[in-house]
Amino acid sequence: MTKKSFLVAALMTLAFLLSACNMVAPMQNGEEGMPMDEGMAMDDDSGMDMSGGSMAGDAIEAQSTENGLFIVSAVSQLDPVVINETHSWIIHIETADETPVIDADISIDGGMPEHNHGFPTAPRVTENLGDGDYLLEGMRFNMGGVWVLTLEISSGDQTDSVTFEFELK
Amino acid sequence: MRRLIGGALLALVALAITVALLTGELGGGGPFGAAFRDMMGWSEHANGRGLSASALSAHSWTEAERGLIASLSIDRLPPLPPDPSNAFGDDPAAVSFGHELFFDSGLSPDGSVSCATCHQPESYFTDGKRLANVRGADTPRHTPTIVGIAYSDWFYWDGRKDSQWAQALAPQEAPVEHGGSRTAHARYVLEAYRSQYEALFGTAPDIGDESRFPAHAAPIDDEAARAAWDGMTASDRQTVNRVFANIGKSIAAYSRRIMPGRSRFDDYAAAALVNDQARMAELFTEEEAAGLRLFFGDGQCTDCHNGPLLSNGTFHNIGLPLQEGSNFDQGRSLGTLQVVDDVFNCLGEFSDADEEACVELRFIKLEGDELVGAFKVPTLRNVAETAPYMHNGIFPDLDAVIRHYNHAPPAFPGHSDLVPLAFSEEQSAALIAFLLTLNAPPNAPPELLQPPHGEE
Repeated sequence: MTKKSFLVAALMTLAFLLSACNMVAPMQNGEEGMPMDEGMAMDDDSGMDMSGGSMAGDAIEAQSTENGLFIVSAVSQLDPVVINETHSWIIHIETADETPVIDADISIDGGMPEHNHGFPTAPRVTENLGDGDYLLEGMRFNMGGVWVLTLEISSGDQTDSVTFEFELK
Repeated sequence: MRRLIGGALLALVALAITVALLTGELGGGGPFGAAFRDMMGWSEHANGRGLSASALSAHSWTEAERGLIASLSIDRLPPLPPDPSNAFGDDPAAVSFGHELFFDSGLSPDGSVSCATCHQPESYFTDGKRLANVRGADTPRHTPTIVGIAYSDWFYWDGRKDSQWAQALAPQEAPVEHGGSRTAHARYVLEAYRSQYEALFGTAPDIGDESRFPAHAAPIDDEAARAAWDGMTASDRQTVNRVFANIGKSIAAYSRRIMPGRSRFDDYAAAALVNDQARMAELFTEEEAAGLRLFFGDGQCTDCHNGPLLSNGTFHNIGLPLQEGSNFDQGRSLGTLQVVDDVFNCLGEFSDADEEACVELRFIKLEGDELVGAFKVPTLRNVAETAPYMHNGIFPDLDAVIRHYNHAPPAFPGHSDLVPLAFSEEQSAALIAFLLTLNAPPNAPPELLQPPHGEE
């Protein structure tokens, strides 16, 4: 790059900076009620909420069981999910044709495969809430990283399982 | 000549941009200027203080890293929640009563041992010994601090108690600790502190009849004490247990108040949160910052030492060597069975909690290889002041601790949660330098950090 082209680039940068500053200038005088400029915020709120291991309570997408018998969703009642706090989840189960499964027996397993350990607690389903919803109590995570939650679901004479994988960042 | 003018112009423009950004002229110091400075690793406060390039990079953290640092700060410690199993836990009269009991060596048959014998306020409520030792006999475990312990779900290194008040009872009957018994201690407290007891717990029961309430009776290993206990009626045993539980609840009301103080690290975390690098550089040396980086980075220390107390409150086997001549200590795999059976646990009749509130006990993990030889992760606040280290006091200093983490030998039995860090000497020194920034005196009313008025 020649000095001349460098100079042009520097001037263009200056022009850009000045125009950018004009663009945001009104924000300083009218902070009240001014919406945050979408493109300008350097601090993403979700980032600064970091707890050394967290995720949104509804971060996990519904998933089909291994043999496709059930569709299962798992939503934390603690939102965001944070480490070191024992809490509950709601598990929802329906069949592939979207009929709620109201008579399921559910056993729970999971942990951190990479660390070769399970949950620090023994979570279990304590209540059938109806309409295919089940209360899973005793969930706890004790560190950030990738966790798995496996549900083995029996309904009538059918059994299938699903494993959710998620990361607390 | 054109090149010269071009060069001069370029220099001028660059200077103008820099000056404008740093002084905030450009955009009136508005968000863009701040964002740009942020992006470049400069802060408002760095302006004109001449931070060196290495200082800037030592204290330069990504947004995610700043979030992680803040997550360890005492500013994130929530107000202490009530202990549902202890209705007296936040009663000022119980705090005062418990303060006296904590320092009272009358709670031992020879008058030589109180809680404060091992939990010494001047030593961050530890005793500086490898293993807790009174009357010249070692206990199997090292004395942990009680500072901030009220936030725990489990007590003792193996978590064999699930409340501070239940924990406070066990040493009183352990032969190698206070060496007393619940009938003796109930009788002593009702005599020495009758008015304080009754003001809190109502009319004291009459346990003066030694034919019904033997001098030394308790469900402990001592055969005579156990036989005496077994000889009591269920109702009389319950009466004594109730007084004994109330003694524990009072001691817990006191020890709940001993909180960790604000350390230099916490000030650093506050500066990191707003990315004030000049302030960060004032608070931490480059080595300390490098140690912090290793702590949550390559060291993976925050897997277990996380949150504002730098502990996840759960149990891990880290493949510790045994003390010479000692047997394998099962740790958590035995502690789980003991807490479930404990008459003073959260679900027991002496607990003030509803069953619903006993979440930890209801969902206790009872099975799993990872419980074998696992011990509770201790807080690292004031770690430099609480040597020796580990449940068995096996390491005399932090150098020895880091050496263990560097090598991480496999555990036997059980499996170690560690992977060898293999840190260089320089890295190990940096990590220790960071740990020293966690020092701070306990945060509690000054009168609670010494024996109650009128006692030694």
